[in-house]
Amino acid sequence: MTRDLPALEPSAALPRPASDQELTLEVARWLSARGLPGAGPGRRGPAEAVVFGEMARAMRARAGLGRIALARRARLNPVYLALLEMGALVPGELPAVAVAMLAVALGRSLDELPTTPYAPGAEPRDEVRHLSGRARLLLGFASLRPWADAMTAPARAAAVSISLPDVVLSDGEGAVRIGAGQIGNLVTPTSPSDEYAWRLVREAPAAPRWWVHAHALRSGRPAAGVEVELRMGGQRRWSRVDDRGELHFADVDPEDIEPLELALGR
Amino acid sequence: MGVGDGGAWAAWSRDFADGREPGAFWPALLDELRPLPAALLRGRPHEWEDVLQEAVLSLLEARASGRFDPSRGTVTALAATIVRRRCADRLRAERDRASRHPVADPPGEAADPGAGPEEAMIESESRRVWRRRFAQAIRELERQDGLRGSCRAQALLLRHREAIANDEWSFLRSGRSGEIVPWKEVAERLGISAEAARQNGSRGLRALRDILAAQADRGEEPE
Repeated sequence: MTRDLPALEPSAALPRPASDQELTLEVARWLSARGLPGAGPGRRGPAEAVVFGEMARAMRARAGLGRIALARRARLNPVYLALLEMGALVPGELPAVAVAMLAVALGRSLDELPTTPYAPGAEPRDEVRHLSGRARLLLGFASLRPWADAMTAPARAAAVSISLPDVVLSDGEGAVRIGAGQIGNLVTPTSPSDEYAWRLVREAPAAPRWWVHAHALRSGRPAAGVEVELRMGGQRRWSRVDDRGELHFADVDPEDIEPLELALGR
Repeated sequence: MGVGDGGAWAAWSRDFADGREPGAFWPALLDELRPLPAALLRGRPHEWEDVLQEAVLSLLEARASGRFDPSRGTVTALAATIVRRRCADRLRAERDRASRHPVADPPGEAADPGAGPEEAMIESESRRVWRRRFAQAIRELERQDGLRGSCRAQALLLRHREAIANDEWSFLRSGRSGEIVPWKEVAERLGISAEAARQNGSRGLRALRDILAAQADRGEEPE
């Protein structure tokens, strides 16, 4: 019965209900088709997930938001959010990015969350999954901490740079290693670091520009000319690796961070 | 299918118990239930669908654990009972809150109407510092629970979740807060007895106070 259901993750192509009544129906259909995750009397997820879900619901109530409104604000699927709040998800269905997006939508950094859905020490770490020539970057809890800090800082003015895990992608000519990746809003790595640039940093505008930057190598040499696609949430960008092996995507919307994928251009 | 279709609901109840309810089952069931929260939770329309979603989950839990027997009643009757109970829980919580805070300030907001942007920023910063301090202490308690095999932090969080979400920290001193979740509900969520939930929660509160006091003695600032 569950064969036709997509994998349950924040960005899965779940139904997108337009009203609270539609959401209730989708939740009922989803739970009925998929079954309940737990084996205990409650048949829900582990206690950490149940407690986190109840806390998320209480924080949503405090914010005066319905499930659909909060899901929109967090860029999560409303069905996913409903299952999360009801403790009907298991740890593998609770990536750190979903927790971070929810925290930001509730106006909290990750350190301000009263609890997390993970046992202490079991918070997700950075991970890369390869599928059909694409590499999906699943940022861990620690990597997302500065992102959530920046998203909740006054006027979003906090300066931040987050390291991305290395990725290896292949095309007809062999493997390309994309490493030393960063997403951030500090002075652009390709900008000259002269005094003028530093003054710009100190007097940074209220909403700093974000970028993704990395080095691309093929057989240890700059992979000059290789085209790389970045998919970040609903954003799709292409950039060509320069002669120094640098790869740069400018002006990305940091809020729209999930899913985060890289692929070689065609 | 309407309210009077008892025979049809009896057949659908058997289908539901066997896990093979037809596609029309859920829309029809929800249509049957929808008037209930609307009548019981008047003036709180934003909660109606939350209650129904929770009822769906409880219904599926009842089926999964073999607690639904279609020969003893229809699925609509059980679902209606669940919805009524959920509504009653919410009304009771609302009454508790009203009786404890007859004239409550908006939670977590600056109480001084004359406060300017600077005061608001200080208020906001202080709130964030307290949230971090609490979260840090809870993580320490969770870590200790992991070693001891207890669930003190979880019981405490469930019991005082409304206060925590509202940045109301008075329960750390007195154990009382604007809205306290009954031990029975805490126990249900954790799959333990009400007495075990009470013991874990009470011990958790004492341990949390000790952790916070130790943090203060060491002069630790939240990370």
